[in-house]
Amino acid sequence: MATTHLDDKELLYQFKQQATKEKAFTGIIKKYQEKLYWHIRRMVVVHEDADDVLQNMFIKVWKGLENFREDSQLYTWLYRIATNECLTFIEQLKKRSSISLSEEENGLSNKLKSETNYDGNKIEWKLQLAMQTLPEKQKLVFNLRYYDEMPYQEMSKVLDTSEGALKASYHHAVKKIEDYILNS
Amino acid sequence: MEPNKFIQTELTSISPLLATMLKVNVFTVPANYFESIEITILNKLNDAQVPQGYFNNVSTHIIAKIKNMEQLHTTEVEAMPALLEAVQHINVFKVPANYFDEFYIAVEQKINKNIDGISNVLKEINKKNTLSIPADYFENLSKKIITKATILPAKVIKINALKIWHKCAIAAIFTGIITFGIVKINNNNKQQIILEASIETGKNMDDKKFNETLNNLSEEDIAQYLAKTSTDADVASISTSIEENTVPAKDDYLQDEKTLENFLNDIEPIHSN
Repeated sequence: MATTHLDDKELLYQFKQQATKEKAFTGIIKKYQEKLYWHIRRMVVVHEDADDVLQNMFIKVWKGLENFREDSQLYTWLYRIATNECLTFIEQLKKRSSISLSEEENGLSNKLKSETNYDGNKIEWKLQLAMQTLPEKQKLVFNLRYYDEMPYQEMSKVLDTSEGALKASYHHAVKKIEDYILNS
Repeated sequence: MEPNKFIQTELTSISPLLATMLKVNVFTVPANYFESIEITILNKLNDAQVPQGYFNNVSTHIIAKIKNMEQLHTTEVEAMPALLEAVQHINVFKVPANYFDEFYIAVEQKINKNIDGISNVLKEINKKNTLSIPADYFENLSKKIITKATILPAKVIKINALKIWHKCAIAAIFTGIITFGIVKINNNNKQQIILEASIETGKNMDDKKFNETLNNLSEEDIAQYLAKTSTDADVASISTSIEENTVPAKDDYLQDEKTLENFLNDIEPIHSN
């Protein structure tokens, strides 16, 4: 049975009432946790890292939700926070390992290959490996468009980039991935 | 989930290969992860939060903690004397027999040894003054100074060169000297009357007569009179008649034996102005 979720306005209203604050927050987590988790997981690859990033981003949501302006959509705002958390995490990972993640055989690719059901011959794993060759911004754009099917207008709010630039970025990302799959 | 047709068309136009691929999720998550994630997050939030009213009472807690620490310190300090009293004043250290009696000898030996070690050349040099002075210089020095000093009054002082008040003061002193000579010769009982009369006489003398009278006095009489009757004020009065900036510096006497002589010779022209 599919879980029914309250709409964002109702959740935000309940969050601002002290009596229903925690319940509303649980509702927000339940509503967006999976989407946000996969968005994060495809960026950081490892579950434990994705779990940390997800928890940290929701703690930031708790602290910032009081001041959230309802002129933007809640889920756009959540994606924005999740994306920033991902980028911060990857940046820290780069500093710790002193590895350039733009290289083909980078840390995340190795982590991907360490996944329990990894099979390098399968095209879906090749796609994942190809994604790791993209620059961070292109990878985000590809993720949001290909997997989350996010409209450019909303993506523009999440990534703070013009729609035209996002379209170009997505185009380049797809072409690079196709080349990787065909040539690997 | 049905793919968004617009997005699927867009993908097909860019890459038919990717458009035909199934969107398989290659990743796995632990069982029941999404069922419990909100509880994990809420627990983490509670850990990160401060108790209700924490900031209202935090200053009280801090002050209470400081007072407790101060009290503890005071108790420790008060307990200290009793603790020290319990320890007997026994010196647990020992020194060799006669150590302190012979300590200075050991130190001297060490110093000498050090000097020997530093410079054999210095050790060879006797502590002898290489500078020479005239024979019997120190034996005759005091006599020489006194001689020159006693010649001074007859030689340099010219009363008419001094200011009126100063002239009167010195005249009074030297008139007294004359009186002293007279008193010595004459009856002591009349001393005071003659003294007063002599002072008056001295005051009324003209300069020429005064100088002549003064020159006739012996040096011994003048010295004896000054020793017995002159006051500090008299000495100060005479002293101030000599300009201080003409007095040689103390070190000059040590460097040049002629300094004092030159100074005494120079006094006359100064007072002649």
